[in-house]
Amino acid sequence: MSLIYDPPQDCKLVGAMRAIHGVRDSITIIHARPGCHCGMILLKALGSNQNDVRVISSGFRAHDTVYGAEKRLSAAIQLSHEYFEPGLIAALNCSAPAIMGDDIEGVASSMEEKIPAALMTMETGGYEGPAWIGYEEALAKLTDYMIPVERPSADRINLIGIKTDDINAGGDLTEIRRILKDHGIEVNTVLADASFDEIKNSPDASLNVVLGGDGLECAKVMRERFDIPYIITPYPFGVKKTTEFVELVANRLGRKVDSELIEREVKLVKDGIERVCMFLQGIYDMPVAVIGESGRAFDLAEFLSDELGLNVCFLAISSKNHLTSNRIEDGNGHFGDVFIEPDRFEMNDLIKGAGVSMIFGSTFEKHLSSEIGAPLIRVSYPVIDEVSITDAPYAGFRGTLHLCETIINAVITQNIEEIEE
Amino acid sequence: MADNESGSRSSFLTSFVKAYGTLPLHGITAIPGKISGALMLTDAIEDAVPLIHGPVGCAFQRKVNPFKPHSPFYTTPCTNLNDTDVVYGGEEKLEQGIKETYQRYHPNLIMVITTCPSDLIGDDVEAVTRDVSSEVGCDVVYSTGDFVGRSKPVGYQDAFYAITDQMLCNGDGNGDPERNEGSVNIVTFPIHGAGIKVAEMASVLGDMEIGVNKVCFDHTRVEDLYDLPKADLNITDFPMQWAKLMDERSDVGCYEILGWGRYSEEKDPELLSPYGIGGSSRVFREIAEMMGKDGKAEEVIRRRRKEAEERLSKVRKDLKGVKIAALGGLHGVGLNLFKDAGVDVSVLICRTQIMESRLTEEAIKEIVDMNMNLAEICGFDPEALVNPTIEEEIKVIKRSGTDLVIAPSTSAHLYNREGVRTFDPTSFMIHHQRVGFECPIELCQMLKDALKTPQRRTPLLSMLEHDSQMHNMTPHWAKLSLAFNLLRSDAIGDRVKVDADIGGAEGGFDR
Amino acid sequence: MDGGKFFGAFRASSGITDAVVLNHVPVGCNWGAAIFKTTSNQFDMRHACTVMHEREIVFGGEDALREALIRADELYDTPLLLVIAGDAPSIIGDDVEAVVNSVTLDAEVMWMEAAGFKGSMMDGYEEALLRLAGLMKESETIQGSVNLIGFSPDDFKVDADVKEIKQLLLDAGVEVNTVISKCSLEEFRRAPAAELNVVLGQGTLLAEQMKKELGLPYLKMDYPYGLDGTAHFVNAISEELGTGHEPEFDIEPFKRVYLYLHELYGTPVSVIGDFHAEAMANFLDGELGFNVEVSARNEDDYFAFEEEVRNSNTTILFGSSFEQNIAETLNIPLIRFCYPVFDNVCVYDDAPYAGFRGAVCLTEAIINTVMSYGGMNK
Repeated sequence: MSLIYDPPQDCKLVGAMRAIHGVRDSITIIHARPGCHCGMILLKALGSNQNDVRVISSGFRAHDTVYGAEKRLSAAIQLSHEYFEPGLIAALNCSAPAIMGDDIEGVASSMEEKIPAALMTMETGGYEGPAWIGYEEALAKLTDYMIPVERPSADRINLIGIKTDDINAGGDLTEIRRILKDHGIEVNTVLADASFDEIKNSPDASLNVVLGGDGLECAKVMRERFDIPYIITPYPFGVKKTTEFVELVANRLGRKVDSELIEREVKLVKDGIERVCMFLQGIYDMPVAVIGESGRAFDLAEFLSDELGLNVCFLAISSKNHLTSNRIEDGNGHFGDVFIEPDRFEMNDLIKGAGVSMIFGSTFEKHLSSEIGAPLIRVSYPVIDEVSITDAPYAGFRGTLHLCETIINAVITQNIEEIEE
Repeated sequence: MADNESGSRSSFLTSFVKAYGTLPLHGITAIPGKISGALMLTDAIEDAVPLIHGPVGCAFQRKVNPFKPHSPFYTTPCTNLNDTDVVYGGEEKLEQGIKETYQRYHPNLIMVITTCPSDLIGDDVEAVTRDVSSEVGCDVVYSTGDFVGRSKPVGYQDAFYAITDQMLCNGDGNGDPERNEGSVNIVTFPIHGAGIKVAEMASVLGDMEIGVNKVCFDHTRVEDLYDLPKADLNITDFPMQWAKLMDERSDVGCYEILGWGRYSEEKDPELLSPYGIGGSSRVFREIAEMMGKDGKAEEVIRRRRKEAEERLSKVRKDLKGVKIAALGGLHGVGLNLFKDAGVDVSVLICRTQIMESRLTEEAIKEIVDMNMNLAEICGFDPEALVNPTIEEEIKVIKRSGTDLVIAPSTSAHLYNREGVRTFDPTSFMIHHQRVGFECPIELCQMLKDALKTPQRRTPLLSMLEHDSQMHNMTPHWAKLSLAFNLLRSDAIGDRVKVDADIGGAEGGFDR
Repeated sequence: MDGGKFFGAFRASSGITDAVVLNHVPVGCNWGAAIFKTTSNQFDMRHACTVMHEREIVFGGEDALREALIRADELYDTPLLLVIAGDAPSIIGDDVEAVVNSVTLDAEVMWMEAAGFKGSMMDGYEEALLRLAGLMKESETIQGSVNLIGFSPDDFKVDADVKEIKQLLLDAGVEVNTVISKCSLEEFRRAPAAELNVVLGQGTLLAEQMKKELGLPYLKMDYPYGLDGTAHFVNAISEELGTGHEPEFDIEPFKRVYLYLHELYGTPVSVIGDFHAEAMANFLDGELGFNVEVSARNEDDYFAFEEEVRNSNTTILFGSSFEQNIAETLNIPLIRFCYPVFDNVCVYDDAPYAGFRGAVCLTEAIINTVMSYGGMNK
């Protein structure tokens, strides 16, 4: 097995940041050399929330590797409070200061009384693990701030596993909320796409819904501490998984699913499908590759195969979660071999040999897509060359149509001469 | 692509590159680390591959290219250091990693780039690289960021220095090749697009009987780098540590188009204006002098200049009497180019806010004075504004009857909504501004095109609130910028202590 | 590139959503008109053809037409059969009226002459609507309601745009009575119930006629692209009807990508299309700050248009699927926004290009077209 590794996912820092940044009134302090901070800023600024980048650097400079940078961190905490008045300030300790032994927890403790915001610290050295570990840990840490509720509201749920920098995240969330609301189910808090107060108020829910398995640690902690049960649902791509999602949530809350409502939604999808039925026939059995995070990619692959009839001949999980190994077994024959966090070079080689006609992945698959002449549908993190500012989802019933449209258009807009080249 | 009458071309590439151009990085709200700079250089060498000696994050995040966000670094293998390696050392992994990188990618050069963990744990990268080089079939070079002091950009400078030191002029028979006498290398910053922008320069030098040995970076390969020491002179955009080293070790002179080094001694503002008819003439003369071709040069310069000026006189006719408001500073369209275009600079706007965290007051004043001197040399008598608000600018612009404001697209909408036309200099600077006699002609055409654009618009952008001082940014980003510069100040060697008005910052979130 | 009168008549007629259009033409014309319509409406095949062959050209096509009428009446469960006589019957002199009068069918039958060479697509649309006006019934006026005139069922994103415009007007206290031509026969018949006709680019002759004969006033408006364009559209109608509504819009989506909006400011573009083109150019120029270097209508000389674009600095082209060729040649992206679009589907009806929502969708589409351009995603 090869030692060198061209990674399909980032380190713990990015996972932690993605979780914390979802707290809408938080500031994340990157306690690191400038490169890590610049990297975080870039990942956020190249997305669809350019005016909501809440990441600052502690200002770590070269000489701080000798003398330590705890003073810079405390200045950064102070400044964060004075400039932004956040509800939560999170300091993420990266490789350099972590190795040097900066005591960020000590710094935070010493400032607790001065700073009204909640202070959170996390060790996120690059060598400590991959991004998904950081995400799980950060979400779990947010439970420290949650306030127990004696009688949680019935028919209110928390959604766990949303990442605001996923493409179409806003649209997906809007659609999920809409579907649940139609069934009389309200979303209490989204982890993480909520204010800090809403995070604190998370225990005021009867159920935690873990989407695709992302954020499972947080759900477990909430069950232990606040007695809130959790269920794991698929990420609702397509008609079947969306229906399954609604059924799982409703049933767990002791509610009946309104089958007429579901029928109406399905009819709308059917009406849309009718309008492009010939194209859908045309792409049936098209071989595709899917590359994405565990919490999304499995469900996407199943939808593509099951409902669109595409042939998912390659599935790579760029970033695991706690359920990944279970999901591999549950494929129902909708995908063949699954590659878990493969080396990019090897993955690209395999995809080139797989004869796919379309790739579902991130911006980093763009070059590969160009090389093999297969259109790229950007569905996986990170997407840094497409924006989504409408509320068009990929999830849910409406998302089914939007995704169909996107897939068909990616095929039929190609210029035959370019393809033949 | 369109060829207009001045021969300038525009293509989708311009818009594509521009689309990512307003990210306020590069010292404004963030600084990319050394890894990015080293990757930029490695990426510019077609048959080189990087090997990042560090954990996965350093390899994954750095795929996002801060210099060209539209063009990620797709190939970034790393040695995948984990917490055990941080304790016990990663040298074995590095050795194995170098071998595997060669087996997998078959490059002609492996650039080992160290990271925070590998630097801090003290891995002897030099020893590993040296020992394993003989076992792989290509050059292996390492870059730590420590070779070039505070030269910027660190990663790029360091990596290129490493190549020069460890490969090209390492004393093992390299660095002393058979000379290509009477020739020069033209080496531009990789993102500046050498291929497009040095063709004219090469042609003029050719006329002066100065050969061009190599142009970098334009489909540059490792073998091209080995040819660099064959020339008599390296011509670079700005001072480069690798070029100084090559001068020391292989007697290849160095000439900087932007003469920072000489400016600090001579204080001649024209040394920082190498473009346009006058500036380019000076540059060609100086190169010719260094190459011992003064006599031939004069005749060539005179002829080329005359040809260009004849065409320029036709093209710029319609620009007579046109008044523009120009941006002062260290970057931008040079004032002498406006002089060539025959327009009048009626207003000169200098913004120093970003510089204030890095440069002393004296230095900033010098920059402002330098711009005013240059204006005077060019025959302009502009009204000077230093850090004006947009309202102040508009007032002066309208009062002076200015026809066109040189404004990047980050702020163009602020003028257009007030009925003032703008010209975006970014595209000109990236794709056209170069040493040579042609670019003033292209500038004239672009200015004429700009004068045909609508005078007034109701842009969506103008609905957004912008910071009153840094009006290319929203208040939130302006705060991020202030925070960045304040927090990173006060390091050893810094000459400036940043004193930000924390109390004045508007804070808070909508809860 | 203009489709000619036949296309215009077909588009207007097929907009009656429960009518069947019988094209009295050779197969090619029938296929051509239909294929552009079916891209995003593959289930909506409500047309037939008399399949004129050489024999009909020599001996006349009246028999073929008679037979086709009878068969269509049997085959389709429709209240209305619309016969459009194209180029061939016009040249050979088929007496379509006589044939129509000679058959007794379950469906009502109407016919129109629309030889392609006799006028532009807009001419065909206008005249078809004038013919169809005969179907309208006098109705009691519904206060605060409007008809929207100018749509075709195969306009790009027509369902999404109509949905958005209806909602905008509803928010302004204005109900949409009938959308012409994208309505059922019943809805078309009751068009006279509206208080006001709003003409978007075409259908002016119908509006004139309705004003003359029914006293129904009309407003001519630009297609509502962009925030400004939409606000102007809503304000004008609201003012005319006296509902006194101030439209509001949300700028949050634009804030989220303001850095990209900065950089795309000043981008040189070109626009070609039908009446949508001018409104699109105004949005691009006035609101996004683009420089519209070449702006043309379908009726203009296409060759000249291509030459002008080639000689300009255009980096994004706005048009129909036909502009794919010039876009590929110049290696620039194409944003499809007007008829005909046959290489892009639209089934997600919450992403319009018109209206306030449309401004967001259009902006997103433009940014993404630039950023993701290249490779296989052109």
